[in-house]
Amino acid sequence: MSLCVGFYLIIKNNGPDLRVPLPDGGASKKVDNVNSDESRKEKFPVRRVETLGALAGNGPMLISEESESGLVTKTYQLTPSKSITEVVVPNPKVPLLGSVEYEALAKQDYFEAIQVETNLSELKEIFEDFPTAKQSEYLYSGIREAYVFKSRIRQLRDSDFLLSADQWKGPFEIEAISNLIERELKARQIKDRLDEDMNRILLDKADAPERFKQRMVRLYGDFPKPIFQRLMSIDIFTEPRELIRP
Amino acid sequence: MVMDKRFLIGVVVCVLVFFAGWWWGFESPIRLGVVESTIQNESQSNTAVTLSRITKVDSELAGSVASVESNPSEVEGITNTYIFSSNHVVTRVVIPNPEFKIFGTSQFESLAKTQFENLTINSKYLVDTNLYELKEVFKDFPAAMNSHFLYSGIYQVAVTTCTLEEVRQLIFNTRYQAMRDLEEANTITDAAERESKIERIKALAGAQLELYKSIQQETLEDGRQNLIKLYGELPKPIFQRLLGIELRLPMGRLPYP
Repeated sequence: MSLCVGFYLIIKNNGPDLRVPLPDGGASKKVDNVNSDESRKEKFPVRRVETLGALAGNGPMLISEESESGLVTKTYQLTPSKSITEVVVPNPKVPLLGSVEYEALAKQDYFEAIQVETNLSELKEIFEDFPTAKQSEYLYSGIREAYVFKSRIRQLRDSDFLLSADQWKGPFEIEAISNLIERELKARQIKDRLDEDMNRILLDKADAPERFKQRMVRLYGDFPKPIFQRLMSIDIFTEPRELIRP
Repeated sequence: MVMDKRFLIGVVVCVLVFFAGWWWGFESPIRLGVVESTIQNESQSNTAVTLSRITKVDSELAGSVASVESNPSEVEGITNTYIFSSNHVVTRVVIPNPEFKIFGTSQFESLAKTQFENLTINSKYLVDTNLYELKEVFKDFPAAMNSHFLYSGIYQVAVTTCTLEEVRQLIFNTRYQAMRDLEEANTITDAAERESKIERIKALAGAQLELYKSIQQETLEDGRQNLIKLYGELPKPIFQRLLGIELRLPMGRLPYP
């Protein structure tokens, strides 16, 4: 969210060895999800691991840890010699998910935002088909989380498209350099930068649904796959406003 | 590419026609003063997956409301004519892939099943597990499981979701191009020329976006109608679940002569 403060610590060459042994898997593999359907009680910090590549543990990796206060630490292991740590500090004015205050703000925001983002009614319809959510006191908290999640997915998709669309710039930057060695160096730098940016987007794309599911399990105790699949089909076109205490 | 070549050719043709119409006709003072009702002529063909139902195109940026004429071609496919204002015409020719001539038959089902197996159990490459996810969703849909067209449905969903993703990218690219053109236009020193250029860029981008949005709606509706054609019904939750599964790659063309 916009008011959250991000700190980026770039650690080169001596980044912590955060690799964990992983089984072979697909393009993205969740390895350690502390939160499970059996345990309603959340064990903090919540940890997620996402990897890219056919051989898990052999390619780019993202390790996310989320504390009870909402502080998120994300470590991107992009190459063997480069890792980036991003710390997202929550805005203290935003109430915690699962609180009555959050629900009240989420409900208020729903009725305001639906004037513009009409697909929120589709999200609500889906949550109403999820008895646990409907019977809980946190229906609007769930809708709000889905709104934030879908907006995030759209943002990541646009970043992906932007990266592809911006690729025309690279050759111009390279051609502007006359020295052959410098030109090769520049080409290498551009390629590395594109690879890094693409991998970060892919890792974030893999992490976002897992984070959303974890938060839903925390809120409702369980979160059925069919409900998640249905939510995935709804397009969101606006960015949600932050829920701030009055 | 995700979308089949014929569909892309259709889009390219329509954009070219649009550009031609745009540059020849932009300065024309004649504008449609009346909102014309949408003309809908749906094809009755059983074969065309991409045949279009047309919706009214309302473009704020274009400052006009486009009417759309949709005429089934004499040969195959459908020709859509979008009229954004006088002299601003977009023609989209949609020609269905030939394999869809046999959509809903056991021959199509057999081809779709073979394609599914080639991409999963018989694949030499990394398998997109989301293909299995699609199959899992269909297992919760008795009408599909009891029919003989399970794999035809999977193939149809793959076509729909991949086309939707491709159109999303076209929408993004249009916005991106408009942003770049506007940046360039803002450097023009002559105020009148600058404003005129900016107006043209906005109108063109607006019309293109509306066109793509109508293609999105048509793709969704065509996909839904084809699944109903196969199974007789399609509950909304099932359709949503199917659309919620993203495929990394399309299933590819069926080997139909």
